[in-house]
Amino acid sequence: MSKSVVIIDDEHGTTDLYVKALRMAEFEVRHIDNVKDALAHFQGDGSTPDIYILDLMMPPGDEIKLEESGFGLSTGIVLYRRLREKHPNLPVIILTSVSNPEILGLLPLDDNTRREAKIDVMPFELVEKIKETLTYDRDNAASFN
Amino acid sequence: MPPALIETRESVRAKFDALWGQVVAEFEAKRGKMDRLTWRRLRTLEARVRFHDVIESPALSRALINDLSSWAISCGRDAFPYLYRLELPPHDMRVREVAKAARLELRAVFDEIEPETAWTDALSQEQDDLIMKRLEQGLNDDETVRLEELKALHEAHLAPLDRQFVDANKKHIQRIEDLIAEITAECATSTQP
Repeated sequence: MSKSVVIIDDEHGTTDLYVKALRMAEFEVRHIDNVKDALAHFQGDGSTPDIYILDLMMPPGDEIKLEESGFGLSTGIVLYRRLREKHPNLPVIILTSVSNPEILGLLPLDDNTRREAKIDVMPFELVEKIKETLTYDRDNAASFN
Repeated sequence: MPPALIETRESVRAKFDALWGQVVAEFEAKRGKMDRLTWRRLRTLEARVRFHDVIESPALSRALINDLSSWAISCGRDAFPYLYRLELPPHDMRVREVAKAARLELRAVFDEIEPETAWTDALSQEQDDLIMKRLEQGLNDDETVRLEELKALHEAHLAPLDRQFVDANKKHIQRIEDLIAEITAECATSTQP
């Protein structure tokens, strides 16, 4: 049975390449490109995936206050907290271009979350990282880094 | 000759579209494989297109947008949230002068830290090939060792650059804050009766 991935990222373009690569590797993929749909998904609008891929910098829309989202810079951090309220242990990969340590320091990482820089993760590498993460979580095997 | 400072959404979009068409065709033909330098070029162009999408607001005059965009493109995506806050009245010459001065100052900063990676094409390609092979069919022991060596080399090379980026971003964000304050003050003055 194929594994499922939800990617939350307002970008298309290169995100579409991630989606293509995952589908080539026979993952089921859903791409959510706005905050409203992401929050609806967390609340049960759609089945729970095996793993989430989450961007940090996104327009906050009407659902998250501009200030709370750091003027868009940390929208994904708000989403991550909401996601964790619903799914405390689901694997998450934060895939972001944000490098500012003050912003990244706001991210309450846990054992089921890892962070990757978009510029360094090409589509086939994301496939590999997801496979590693899911294997690690399932078997509690050796560290994947 | 210095690089052109003014870039339009159309010109950068055309560059992105041209590269995108080439990348997608190769991506599908090679079943998801692509090289690292092409990926970086594609992502940089995409960020620049998105930058124009964000700043092309009716509240900003065209001339001011060009002034702002010419230097803020260099900031990368960390600049976007700050630009959401720009709701300026119609531009006048004094505003333009402020923007121009700030642009030149920022340009000087970025000329110093232009991110050039000396990570060679050949090593990068070797690493990508091994990662792809590991994904598709696994690696033998020698290949696993070699991949770890390459990753360590890559990290050793990129880590200092990452630190430079972080420092530069901090400096940039402060300069953007200062510029926004200065332009806002100029606009308030210029629109008073």
